[in-house]
Amino acid sequence: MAATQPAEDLDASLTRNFPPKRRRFATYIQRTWPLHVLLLPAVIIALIYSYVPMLGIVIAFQDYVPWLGIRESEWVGLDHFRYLFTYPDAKQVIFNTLIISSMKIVLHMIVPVVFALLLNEVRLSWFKRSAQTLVYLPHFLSWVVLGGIFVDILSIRGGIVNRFLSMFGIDPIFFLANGDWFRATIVLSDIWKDFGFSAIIFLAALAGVNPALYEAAEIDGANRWKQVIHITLPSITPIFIVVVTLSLGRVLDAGFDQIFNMYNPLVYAKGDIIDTFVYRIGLLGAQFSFATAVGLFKSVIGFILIVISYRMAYKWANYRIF
Amino acid sequence: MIGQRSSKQNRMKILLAAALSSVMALSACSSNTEPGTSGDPGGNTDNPSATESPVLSDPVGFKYDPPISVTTAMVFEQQTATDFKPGENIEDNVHTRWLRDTLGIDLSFDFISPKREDHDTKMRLMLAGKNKLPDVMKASTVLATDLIMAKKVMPLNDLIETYLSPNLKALYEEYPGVLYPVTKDGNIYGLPNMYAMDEGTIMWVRQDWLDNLGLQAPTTIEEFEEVIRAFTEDDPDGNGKDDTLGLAVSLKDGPYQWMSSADSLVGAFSDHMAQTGDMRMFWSEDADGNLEYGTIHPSMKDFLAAMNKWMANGWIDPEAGIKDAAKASEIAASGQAGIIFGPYWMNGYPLSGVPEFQPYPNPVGPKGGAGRAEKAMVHDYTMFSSEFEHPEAIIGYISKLYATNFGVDDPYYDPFFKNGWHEGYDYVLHDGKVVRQDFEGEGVPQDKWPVPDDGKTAVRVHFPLTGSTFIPYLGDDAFQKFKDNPDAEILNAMEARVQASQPRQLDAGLVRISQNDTAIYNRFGGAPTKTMESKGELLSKLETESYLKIIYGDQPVDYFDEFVRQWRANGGDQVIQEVNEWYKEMAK
Repeated sequence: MAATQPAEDLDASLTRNFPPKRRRFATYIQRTWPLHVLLLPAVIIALIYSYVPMLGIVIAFQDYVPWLGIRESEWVGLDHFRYLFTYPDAKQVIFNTLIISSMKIVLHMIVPVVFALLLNEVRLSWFKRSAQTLVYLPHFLSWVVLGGIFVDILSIRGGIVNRFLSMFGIDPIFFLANGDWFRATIVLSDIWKDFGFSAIIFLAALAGVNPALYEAAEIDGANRWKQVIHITLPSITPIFIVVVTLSLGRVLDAGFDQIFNMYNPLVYAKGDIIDTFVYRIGLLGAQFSFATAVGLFKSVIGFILIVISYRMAYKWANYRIF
Repeated sequence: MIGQRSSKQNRMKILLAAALSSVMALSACSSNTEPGTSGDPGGNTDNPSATESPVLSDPVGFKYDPPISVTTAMVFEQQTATDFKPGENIEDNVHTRWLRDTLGIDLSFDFISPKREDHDTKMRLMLAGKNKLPDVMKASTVLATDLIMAKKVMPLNDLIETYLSPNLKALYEEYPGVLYPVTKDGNIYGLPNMYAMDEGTIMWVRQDWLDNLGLQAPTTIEEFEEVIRAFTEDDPDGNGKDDTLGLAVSLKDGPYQWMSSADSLVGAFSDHMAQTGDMRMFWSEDADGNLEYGTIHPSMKDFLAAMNKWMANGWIDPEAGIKDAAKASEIAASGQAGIIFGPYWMNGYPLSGVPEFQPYPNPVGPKGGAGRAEKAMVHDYTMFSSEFEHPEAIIGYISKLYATNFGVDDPYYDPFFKNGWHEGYDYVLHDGKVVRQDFEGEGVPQDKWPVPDDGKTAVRVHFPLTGSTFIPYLGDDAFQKFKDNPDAEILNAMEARVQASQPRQLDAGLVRISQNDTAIYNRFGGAPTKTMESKGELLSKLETESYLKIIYGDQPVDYFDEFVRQWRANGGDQVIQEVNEWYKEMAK
């Protein structure tokens, strides 16, 4: 923030003087070079760690052999992509990924917002704080641990969930081995784990709403509900759009950690996703090229979706992130 | 390629020889007189002359002076606080100091990774980046294949001939399969690090439940079926609740697991072994000397039919299909299941809290025999970078470690290791007696305990270049010996390991040994074949899914034939062909 302050001053002074164009640029550089130097490390780091490694995607078009390196490995064109789409299970795996991740994205849009709105209406500050802490705690547990816990919780032999269901006369449900229940289990447990953490950002946005607006609304006779509709929701719309836009880029990420730790061969048909599928292929053959090709495919789809949703956000919500 | 490499090496050797010790100079001379030629099947680039190496002239007391420096990389993660004494770590501990001060081998680590995958990835990146590899490497079969293909590791035929302990050479001849994965064009590129082969599956049964119900431990599959039925339905723990079941087993990743296994149930129904999820297991030899794949053998239908029946009746854990081996064992450890299959060490974990579990032989099936899956003999290979100057020093060192198993007659036998590895670490000498555990109980004064505030625990000695130096089955005789006389004299390192066992563990070991002749070996030991790499995932998934679907009754047992048809059509036939090509190549 501090760095931008002098820049505005400089711009202001430059426009006042109206120097010739070339002169203007030279003066500009001369007077702003410390700022560019300040920026340089960030640019270099982004180049080295984000852009240079991207050159590695060329191995997606090679039959990459580690000891031959990129230069000597054989070029195979789009073979790996062709392989991905002609692989007998690929269609199903891509479909599973889309189903699971879109359910997750939709619920991750709704649940944290609703939770944040409800919590925002609570006036007991100790309850508000402790509830907030408790619900975001699961975010810090790893799926390796949770996978084991869920097997016990959802057990058909005395698991707490099935015991609860049996009180209503419902037969035990084998949540983790029944394909239809498996997807629901995956999505709901993921929401349970992360909604509290996702809600933090909305709570922060809610805290930033100008209280004067609520006061004015109250004077105008708006009740609590009207205040939510006309003040709270519009206030958090921009941040909501940011979150949704970013999450759309992950539509082909259905959550490797979680599914890998919770799935099993009985639910392959409904629960196997692109990442677990690639993991199994990579495990046996160390097939770098194929894994890279799948990664590239996912990135391209994700990129396209982000661009589209960003355009839409700009068009309809008049909101720009960048 | 070979010529180019050796000339480069010779040049380096001459340079070094000019600057360094007489040992080095001599080794370089010999390499100049015997240039590696591409026609030589031994394929060795250059060996130090036999007579001049300190290893040969004095196998027991050899020392490099001045010390040689050797780099390596390893997989290591500290497990417990007693892995080391305070102030020591994997890079600087009693054994590395001994290596430096006694043998003149100054070991340093290029990198240490907590996980094998990370280690292998790093090694592959080093290959890709054409970096200098560590002098000594420990490589799994798959990584070893990469290193050999990349021509970065040294052929060892001549070195083995000249320097390796004769007892180890004899061992390789006894089990020729251990060298197959690292043999290419007649050249051997790695020294196998082997398991003790004491982990064959046995049956653990709740003795108190048997007694409560007036049953005998099952010896046949029929009796087994009756026992798991009774354990499930007849309230064996007598608490009046329906809270027990017969068998705790893991089926999520295939029948053969490191514990909670079903391999001996497969073995009861078939001469073959089935493992789903990894196409490298299990291949058996048929009458014509061809390898066939156990998972698709028709006899597996009997196994699947039995499992299906038991599952339908609720006699085995209904959640077996979603549990891995450790998770599956929990219901046995918590007293809800009466039978679990697994290795002899389950005495210590996970069954330590349930002394009622007693070891029994695997039941005999309708075909008249029992059977169990036998683990692969080798866990990894010690390999040398082709730029490494002193392979003979490490081979001498390895021979010395293994000599503790072979006893005083081995030319490398070093009396320094007579009682164990390092005094004050894995053992303590007290009143002329060797104490290996429970130092407090044996009256060892506290200042001599390996761990200052723990009178029970010894400190492990780590071997960064080899891992534990076990010899397959060598410890077997010791089980009976120490059962008869717990204080019998310990003759070698493998015996020391057995002597430290609890009584139930000794019994379990004896049960395992009694069925050694029922072991079913996997005859395929190579890296994944081409079709395994391209279609392996599809086929493995098909295997695991089909097996579980049949066991869970989603498909009838006859679906097995349809599964085999699909398996063959989707690349399985190619895999069978490739595996047999590999086998013929190796048997040459």
